[in-house]
Amino acid sequence: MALTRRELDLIAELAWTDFKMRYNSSKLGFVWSFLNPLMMLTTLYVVFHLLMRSNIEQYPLFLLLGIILWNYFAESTVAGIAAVSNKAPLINRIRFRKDIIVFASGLTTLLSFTLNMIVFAVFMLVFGAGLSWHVLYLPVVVFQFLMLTLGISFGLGAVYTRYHDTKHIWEVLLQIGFFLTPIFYQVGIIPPEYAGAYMLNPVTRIITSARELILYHQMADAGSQVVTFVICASALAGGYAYFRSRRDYLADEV
Amino acid sequence: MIRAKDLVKKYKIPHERRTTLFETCAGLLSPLTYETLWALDGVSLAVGDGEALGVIGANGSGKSTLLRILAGIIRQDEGTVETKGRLVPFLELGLGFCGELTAKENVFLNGMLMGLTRQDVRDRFDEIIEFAEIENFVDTKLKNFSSGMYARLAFSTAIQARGDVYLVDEVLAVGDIGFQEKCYRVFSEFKKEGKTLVIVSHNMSVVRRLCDNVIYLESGRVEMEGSPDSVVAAYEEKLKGVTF
Repeated sequence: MALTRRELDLIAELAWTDFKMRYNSSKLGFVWSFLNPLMMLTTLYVVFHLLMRSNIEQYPLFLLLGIILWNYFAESTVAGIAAVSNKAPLINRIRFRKDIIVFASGLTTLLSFTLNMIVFAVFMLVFGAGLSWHVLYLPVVVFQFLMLTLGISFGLGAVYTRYHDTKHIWEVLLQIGFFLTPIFYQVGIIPPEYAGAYMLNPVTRIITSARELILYHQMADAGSQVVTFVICASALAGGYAYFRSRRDYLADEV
Repeated sequence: MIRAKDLVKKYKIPHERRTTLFETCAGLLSPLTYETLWALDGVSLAVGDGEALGVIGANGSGKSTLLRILAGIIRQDEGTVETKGRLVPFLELGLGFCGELTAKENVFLNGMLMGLTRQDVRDRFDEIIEFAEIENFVDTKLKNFSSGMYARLAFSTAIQARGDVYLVDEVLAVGDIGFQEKCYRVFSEFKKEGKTLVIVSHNMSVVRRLCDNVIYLESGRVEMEGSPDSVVAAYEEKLKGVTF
């Protein structure tokens, strides 16, 4: 997987170009990109806090962080799966490592995610929430998330070049995943007999640890972190291995 | 130097195309029927240092497939390709060019796609702009460029990718006559420097002027091989025989 200087430059350039294009097309580009999480926040807040009176500590921040993390997962996988097919003209005309395109796509969504996290920090100030040293562990959680999303992008991206409905199927799974992941509720509401299976979802584990680190100043135990790491690393290893096994056929398929 | 031996590339073209998982599952009971297209059927070639090989033939004769296999973009079913030195494919100019970006931004993106590092592009940037004759439009968005300016910029950026074996697909016909003359000079210079060129073109005067040898492809086979004058003459003779 080692990348040369030239390839790293290319990844950065492709990611930066896509990022610019995303926010260039309209003057309020970034504002629009943040409108979606804000609308979701308002709706979920009204329904679950005001109408159903759920009692979660710091609910608006809890909710916003969940939404930002989930959106990052959804956006990066949807974009990552389609990345190779969308760049068909490049793949057909030059010889370069095809995985560069998936890395670049991952980097683009990571940049948007970083912007969203900066906005989140502003919200924290507004709500007067404090931080503790636990937040220093956050990069590790983000790294796990990156491994997971890249793994899915590589694996399903290589399937998508052959089967164009992969993306639709994935989008349906994401809709179901939204409810199977603790975005607007706490993990505690899951009945104990299902908790074991429920916690196998890596996105659940990541969202839960991010909230603990940022909002509740605590950290999951080492064993649990190792499990998260192993799940995400296996997703990347499996997805990448499949992508590699398909790479010679990608140019013929797209 | 580039050498290829007995290249074969088959495409299986299904009579109906199944591109979704749904269709694949639904079609499990009725096997697909295929038409086999022999895009390349035993093509061999050898081009030494400082030599240029021209590849001519009608549309669909396998020229682009050949170039893409030599470039390592797609894989052949049979046969071998052997290259000495760094390979630079010019299969399309202005790769990744994007109208919403400025000329400068596009040069960087395209240059890096062609295999340069960011520093390489920075070092050669002035040269690229000067060669393309667009000094006053560096920060203009590409969508506001005329097609000639666009093509010149694309060509100037592409030739910065330094290598030993150049695979060129119909990219010499850009710009006005003055600019085309500049392009010729660049490629003649490459030859003098001992680079290897494989040129696919429909422009017979380009082939006559630049190439030392020519192969004429028909339906994926080498129909004729030899000096530019004799092969081009035979090809043109053949075209005259075609009645429309």
